Amino acid sequence: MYEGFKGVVVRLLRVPPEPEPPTGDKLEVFRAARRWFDYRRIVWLIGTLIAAPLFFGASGTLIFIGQNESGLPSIAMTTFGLLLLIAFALLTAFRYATLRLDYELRWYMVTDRSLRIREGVVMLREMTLTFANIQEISIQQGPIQRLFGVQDVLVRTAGGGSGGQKQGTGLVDMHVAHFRGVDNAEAIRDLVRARLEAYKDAGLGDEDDAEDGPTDLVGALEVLRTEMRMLRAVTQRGR
Amino acid sequence: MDESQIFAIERPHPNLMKLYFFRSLLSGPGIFVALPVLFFRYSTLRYRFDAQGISMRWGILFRREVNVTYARIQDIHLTSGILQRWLGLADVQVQTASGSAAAEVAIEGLQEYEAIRDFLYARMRGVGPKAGAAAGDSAVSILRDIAADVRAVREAVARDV
Repeated sequence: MYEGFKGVVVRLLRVPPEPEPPTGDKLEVFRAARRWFDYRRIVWLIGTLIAAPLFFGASGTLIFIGQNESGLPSIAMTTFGLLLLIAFALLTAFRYATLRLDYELRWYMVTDRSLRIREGVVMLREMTLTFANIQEISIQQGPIQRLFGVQDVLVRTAGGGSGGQKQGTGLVDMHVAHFRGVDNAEAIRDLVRARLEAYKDAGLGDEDDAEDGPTDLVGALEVLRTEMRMLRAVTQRGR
Repeated sequence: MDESQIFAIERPHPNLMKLYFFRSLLSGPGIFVALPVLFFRYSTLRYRFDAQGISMRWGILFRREVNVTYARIQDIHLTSGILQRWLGLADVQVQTASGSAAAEVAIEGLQEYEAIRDFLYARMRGVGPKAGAAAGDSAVSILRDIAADVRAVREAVARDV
């Protein structure tokens, strides 16, 4: 049933298939951990358990009042109460299914030059950044996440301004790449750090540094000739 | 899709107006404000991709123009909601290191978003091979190595003398 639902949603919402890996070699693809899905399901269950009494109470009251009335109000109230129940069931199932889709349709790609993160089902977000621009890597883990052994790895680039801490208000800091719910955070951190080694600059939009000195044959030969002459001058002076 | 086609992009796709229409419908009574604003935004929106960077301008009363050079791009986001995907659109949000949390340039309303993302990405710093690292065994690099050796010898000799 879930697979059918997934097929319909993927077609209906036009969710594109797996993202193209960014340029670079040594591609490594990380996925969210299974335990992270468990964690999200627990959160979903708690939410459902809290919402259920409200819905059942409301629809129960409606149906109960409907039974004591007669004629049109009775029918209307009973129908409304039943509809409320159906809506609740559908909503709960839908939230569960999107949770699972969100878990399955999530890719963290790391090459030796850049990383790409794709997440989201309804609102799709694909983020690409190069290692040359990375400023900071951090690992976060809350108490419940620790219980499940999952962590979030955050990779930041320069800039940002407000909005960094205001998640949930719809304003997301776009300078942060989230590896949400991974169980090998240390491995990812070490990988990113190892690949960052190659970049010694500040990562603030400098042009790719050209090495000092000439790049053409004649230029290189001229430098060599100058060096040779200076060497000769030094050795002759020594006599 | 090659560069010349991207350099030729100037106007957003007409589907952007449809998207704006649906969005202003969703704002309920706000449609009377949102629709004209978005209509003028759509009709004045111009893009320019050139060798150095992107330029985007719009507005009829209050005009705005944003310029970003490729080398200063920090990260690129490709985002799309359901409506956008139905219309074959997506936002290419380009971030620089300036202070704002929102994207500096949000290229919207183009159906070639994947190609544009790849185009911008290819021009970001850090994508190409690192200068110097790829020098390899060319004659120039060998000569430069020799020159460095000679310099070291010269400095050693000069110290001794």
